[in-house]
Amino acid sequence: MTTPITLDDLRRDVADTLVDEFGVARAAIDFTATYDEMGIDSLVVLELAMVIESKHRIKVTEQELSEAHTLDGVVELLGAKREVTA
Amino acid sequence: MNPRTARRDVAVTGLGLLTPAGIGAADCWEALCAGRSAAAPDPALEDLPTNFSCRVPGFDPDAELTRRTARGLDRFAQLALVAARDAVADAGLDPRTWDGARVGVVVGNSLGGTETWERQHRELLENGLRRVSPMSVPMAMVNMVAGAVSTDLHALGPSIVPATACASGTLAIGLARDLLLAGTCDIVVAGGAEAALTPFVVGGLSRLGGLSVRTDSPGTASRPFDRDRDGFVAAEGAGMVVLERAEDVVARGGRIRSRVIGFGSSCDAHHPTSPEPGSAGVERAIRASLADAGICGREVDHVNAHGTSTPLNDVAEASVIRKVYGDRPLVTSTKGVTGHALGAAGAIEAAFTVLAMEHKAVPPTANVNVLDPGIDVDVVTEGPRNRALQVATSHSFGFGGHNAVLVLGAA
Repeated sequence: MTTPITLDDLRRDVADTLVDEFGVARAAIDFTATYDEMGIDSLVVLELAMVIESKHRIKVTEQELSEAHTLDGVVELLGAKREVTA
Repeated sequence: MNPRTARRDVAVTGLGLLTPAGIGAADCWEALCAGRSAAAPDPALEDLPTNFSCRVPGFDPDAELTRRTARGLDRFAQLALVAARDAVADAGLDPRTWDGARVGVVVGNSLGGTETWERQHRELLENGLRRVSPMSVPMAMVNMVAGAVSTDLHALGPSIVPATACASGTLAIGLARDLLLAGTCDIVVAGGAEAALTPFVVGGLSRLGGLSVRTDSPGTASRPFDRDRDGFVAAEGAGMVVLERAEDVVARGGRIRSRVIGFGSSCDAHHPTSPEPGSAGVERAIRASLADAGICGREVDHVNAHGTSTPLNDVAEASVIRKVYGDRPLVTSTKGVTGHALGAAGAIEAAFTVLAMEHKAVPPTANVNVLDPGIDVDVVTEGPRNRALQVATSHSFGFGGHNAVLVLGAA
């Protein structure tokens, strides 16, 4: 049984990780922009997933991440793999 | 300027130093003149027979480079990048306006991103592949130090990492000089970087018997040329210089800090780690550098020795110094203060030699209480010795039998 978590929690985690670990300016984070538009390369996405995986014990594949396209997509993907409360 | 050296007139126009003696030329020079050893207990090495090292004091990669840049680089590349930026700024150059295609980067390194290798290998063994960072390999590769500097400085010309162990930094500056003389580049940012103070590397050096085990007194452990020396102290750091053809510097109204007037290198072709008896390989490198500069040994005012503080090196090196240069040069080993920064050492020491020429003073070798009676050269001890220095050499010798020597001339 995992702790309930909301999509907002995941969204906040993704943003905090990008700011704290990757030095992305908080104002520059746009959940609807593509990775490219955000200036985030595929390696950063992979590393981001590692941090989230480790924190929430969620497993995502590179393929799934690459198909997510946007940070909103990443949050939905993580949410779908994890018990979330609306 | 010596007319004989005119055909080989390459200028040092910028210095960038992040060493255990301090960050920046002023801090380094002050610590060198004070003979203040940087060796201190190192928490990362606490379970090892040699549990101390010389680290760069107060280096904060996130603050210097931003978190975003710093997290993608191993520490050796972080140090190199900051030193390279400092050297370019010191030269009065601006990467935003230079013709990047004419700018080269040559950074010597010995061991690569050892912190990254060790941390990620531990993840693999303890937590499995999914915990291994996708950046592990690119961060740990030795070439990435030059790649990172070239990328940051928009240097689009040759980008090279010579790896000749502890001679790497010296070789890098020699190769950089050649890129300028050949007309391949107009500006070369060159030097060395190393950050290998990890349990595996330092432990391995312990197993080899190369390190001082003076654990009760780390501050006196690095004592080149002293009778009671017992090994070297491992260090980290980066030293970078900017080289340009002197005529170009004059044309742009830049400042010449020193000149690279000769370079020589050789290999002992003898043994992986032991110096060759008789030091013929070292002598070949020194004589090649002097021939390249068009000078004889007696014209050399100052030698920044390799001077590791190991029993074998220092007495053998002093013997060659006496043979090739005579008794005239003031000899020092700045490793008494900094310890031995392996692939970065030669570049750091070349920069220190530039500072000595500018200050017209040779800093002392720290911790020499009783000069080894087998050493018959003029080792500067206790305090700096003042002398106008027209020509100086910097020696570096590495595992693999690699030897490299730079000849520097006053501005």
